[in-house]
Amino acid sequence: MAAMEFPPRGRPTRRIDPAALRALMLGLLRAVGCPQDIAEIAAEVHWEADLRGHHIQGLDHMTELVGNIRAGRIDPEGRPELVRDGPAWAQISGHNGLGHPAGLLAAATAVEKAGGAGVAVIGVKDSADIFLVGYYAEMIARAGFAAVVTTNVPPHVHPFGGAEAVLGTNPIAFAFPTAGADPVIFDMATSVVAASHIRQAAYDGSPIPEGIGVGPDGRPSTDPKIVEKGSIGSMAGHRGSGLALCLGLLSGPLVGAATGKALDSWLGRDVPHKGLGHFLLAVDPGIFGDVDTFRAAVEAHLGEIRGARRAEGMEHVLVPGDRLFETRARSLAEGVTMYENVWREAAKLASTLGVEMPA
Amino acid sequence: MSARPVKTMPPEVLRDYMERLLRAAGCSDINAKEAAEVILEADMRGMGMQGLDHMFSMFADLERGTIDGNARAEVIGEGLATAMVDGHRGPGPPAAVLATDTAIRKAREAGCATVGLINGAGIYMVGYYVERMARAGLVGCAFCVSASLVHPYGGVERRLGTNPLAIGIPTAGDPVVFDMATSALSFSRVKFAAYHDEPLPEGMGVDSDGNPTTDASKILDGAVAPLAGHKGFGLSLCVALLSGPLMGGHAGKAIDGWHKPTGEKAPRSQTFIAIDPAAFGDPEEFRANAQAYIDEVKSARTAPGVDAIRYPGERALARRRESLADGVEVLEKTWEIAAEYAEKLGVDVPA
Repeated sequence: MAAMEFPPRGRPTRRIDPAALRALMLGLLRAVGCPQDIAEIAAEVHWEADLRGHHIQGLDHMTELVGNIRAGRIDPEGRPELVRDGPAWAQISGHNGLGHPAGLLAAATAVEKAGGAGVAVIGVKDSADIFLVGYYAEMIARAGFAAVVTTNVPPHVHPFGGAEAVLGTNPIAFAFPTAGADPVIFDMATSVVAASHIRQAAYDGSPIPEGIGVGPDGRPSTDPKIVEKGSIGSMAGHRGSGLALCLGLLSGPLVGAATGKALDSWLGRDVPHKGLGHFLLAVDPGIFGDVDTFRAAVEAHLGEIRGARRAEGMEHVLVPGDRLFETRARSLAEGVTMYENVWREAAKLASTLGVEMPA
Repeated sequence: MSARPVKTMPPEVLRDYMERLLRAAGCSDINAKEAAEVILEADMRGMGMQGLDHMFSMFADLERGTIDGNARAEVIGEGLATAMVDGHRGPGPPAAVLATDTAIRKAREAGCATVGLINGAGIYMVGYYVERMARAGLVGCAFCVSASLVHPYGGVERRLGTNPLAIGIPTAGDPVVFDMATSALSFSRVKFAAYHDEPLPEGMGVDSDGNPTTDASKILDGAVAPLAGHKGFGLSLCVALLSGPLMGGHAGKAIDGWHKPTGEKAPRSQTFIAIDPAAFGDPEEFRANAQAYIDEVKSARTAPGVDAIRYPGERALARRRESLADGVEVLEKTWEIAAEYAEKLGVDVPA
């Protein structure tokens, strides 16, 4: 295909010492009033994202996160709390704090409840972004359960047939234990691309391919700065649009949170502020059969897929998550790959907060 | 695409025809009645690919004995918020209705429920079951692993099913019913294109040598592409794992036979999840909030040339109303094939 590759490959990068990167994230969060334990939980999520090469959820999100704390949309000292529950479900309030600790408590609660009842649905309200949804799904899978995690996101996406942002990029993650050491983890946005790719393109003003987004007037645009103010399309047309709508209802109204334009305050618009919501599901394979048979059947299916004849020009057929832990190990050993433009933005943020950048 | 010729008939006539065909093919009265109910709903909603046309595969399976037309599904185990339904290798739709109703019952007790259906067959229009949960006031999800037809991202050989997933959500009005295949096209979309010698758009699949093709019949021998590249591929894999191995069932090669006229077929399995909104708050408030969001999405500015934004299930339910009023449309081609089966089975074809 002659289409422009997006996000583009070969963007300039540098390597950052992993410990220094973590310290930087921690320093930025501490500088805006996060207590040490909350800052550590949040830094861990973004650090893991960068280690795994999932750079749209890494250091690059600190500017937005810090901005939300300074604007009063997130209480840096807010702590999540379980507000009501049954044997197979729970509702957690994020108490307007950071999303990461709320996500972590929700995942731990999902594991505990599913361990007793075989299945658990956990809803989180009054929260903020949990970023790497696969992180929480992975936690549940490492405890031996199948996991589904989704979240609503302020509207950046127009519905199929529309030209106005009313859907979030509403990501969904699945994770399953395997017969090996690591779970299989799949994590996707329901939009044609993640909104963060548009933001990163806007740093340098690089054009984005046609057909991804429209401006605030609803007209197609390839200028990321215009599309940032407008909206992007859904993955695969009506199917991604329908899926985003359903996930917005599951992680919004179902769990007691808002969705759609009611979340516009997160985009800096002058509307009453509402927290985000999250939805987590955990299922115990041991309820439905033998756990070892389950893990072996998962592994067998993954093996069949990896063994499929390759398309021309493809080196491997990979299953989701195949490269993830290799990349993580390499990042720890050789340093974390970081886009130069992301690093530059982080340096600006660090300078306004008086935090020292690593060499 | 040229209009495909159709035949129109009253729903009751089509229902009766379906029931008689199913009984003649070996289904008990109750299985024929319950299966026809689900299958007719597909034709009424304009989803002919899950309707009468899809029954032909059941006739073949009944004849070979891979489906036992008399077997009734039963609940074989229950936990606090879980249940297991054994289909006993009977027809899929009646077993799936039992699994759905079990999920509804358990979720009302426990707040949420996961029900596995094992030793089953194809369950046809997945949206039917989540709509049933939504009409009972619950959020419903269903996941179905199907026989391999779809190549993985980066591969050219079939390894995954079209593996559909469906979500049903109650609102203040008609429920949201979202039902999608995780492949670029569903099996039946490809089959229907093959019926009419219509070329498919580029990028929808490959032939048996792995070469890209727009010829539907070659894709049926080769593989369909996953939806939206790696995203549909990942979703497909997760649907397979949720509804196959997680339930103690199968995915991949073990169930490949369901697309073939001969050969071994391990039983199919599916997963049904129901969630009671009352667990998290006032269910009326939930319905009102869900409706308000649907209204917001529908009122978004439209793209040029678009008359309306529709929410998932809206078109299908509008079509159902039309079918009730004006009759159900069935493809001529489907009708002809059904008539051949009817003759073989000694069933009268409606005039």
